[in-house]
Amino acid sequence: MTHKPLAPRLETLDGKVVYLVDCRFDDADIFLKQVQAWFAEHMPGVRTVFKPISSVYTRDDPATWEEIQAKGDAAIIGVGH
Amino acid sequence: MTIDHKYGVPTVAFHTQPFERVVRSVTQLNGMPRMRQVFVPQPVMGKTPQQLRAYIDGTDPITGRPVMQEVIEGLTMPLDDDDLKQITFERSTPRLVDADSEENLHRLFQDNLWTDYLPIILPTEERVAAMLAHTSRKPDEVVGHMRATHFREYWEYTVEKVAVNAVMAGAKPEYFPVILALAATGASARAVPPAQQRPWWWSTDRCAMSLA
Repeated sequence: MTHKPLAPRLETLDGKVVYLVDCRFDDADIFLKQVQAWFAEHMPGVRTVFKPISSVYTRDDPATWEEIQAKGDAAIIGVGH
Repeated sequence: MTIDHKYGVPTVAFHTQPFERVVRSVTQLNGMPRMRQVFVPQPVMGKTPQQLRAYIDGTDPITGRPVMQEVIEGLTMPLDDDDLKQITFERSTPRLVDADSEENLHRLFQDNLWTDYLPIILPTEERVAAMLAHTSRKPDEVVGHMRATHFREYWEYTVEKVAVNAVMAGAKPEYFPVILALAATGASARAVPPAQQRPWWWSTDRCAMSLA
């Protein structure tokens, strides 16, 4: 088994763009929009972007990952299982 | 996992509580046991926005810590030594269990999740040997690889392990060549091997001939 290192973490979320990635399980979108509301209320310096994946969770979605890599600083994915 | 490791974007994943064991297993087997996970109650489906907000304002049912605090920390706390060290994984198990009463052995199989809770026949050495007598294949010969879902690792299994499972399922020894052939396809109830990993004798009639 190959160890895959995690990405370095951010020093702060303030001023950063956090993608909220909807993996399209039922009602994950509603859940993530509540996460988005939480950030707006508690951490208004964080800009959130709601982003559904292109297809179903069983398929890789490089276009979405590349967008997040280019335009975002962090990601929150939900709700898996 | 992909976006964190391959694309270098710090990521936290939300999951529901009952899937903790599966999620931990999948991340470990994919080389990322320290992937940042936060758990919320189940279900999410069918809940109102207010109810889901309560999940978010509440605590992680696994850790007891505030959900959003875990999210923030998952994205901002520096990686530590445990995140950076190499990982090893050992999954071998003894070939035989200790002798015990039939009742206790049934309980042992259930407690270890070696069954799906349907009744089983205990795979004694004698019963497994009777099954193996119906094939010319060696007991330690690898039959194939199978995985429960696309996200799990492949399990490797031998002729003897297929025989053990056949005994547990109550099969007659004379059925074993067909069972072995089916096992060799790598198909499970939930996943079949991708086309490029299928053996040349993928079609059922040919694999039955090749393994009998």
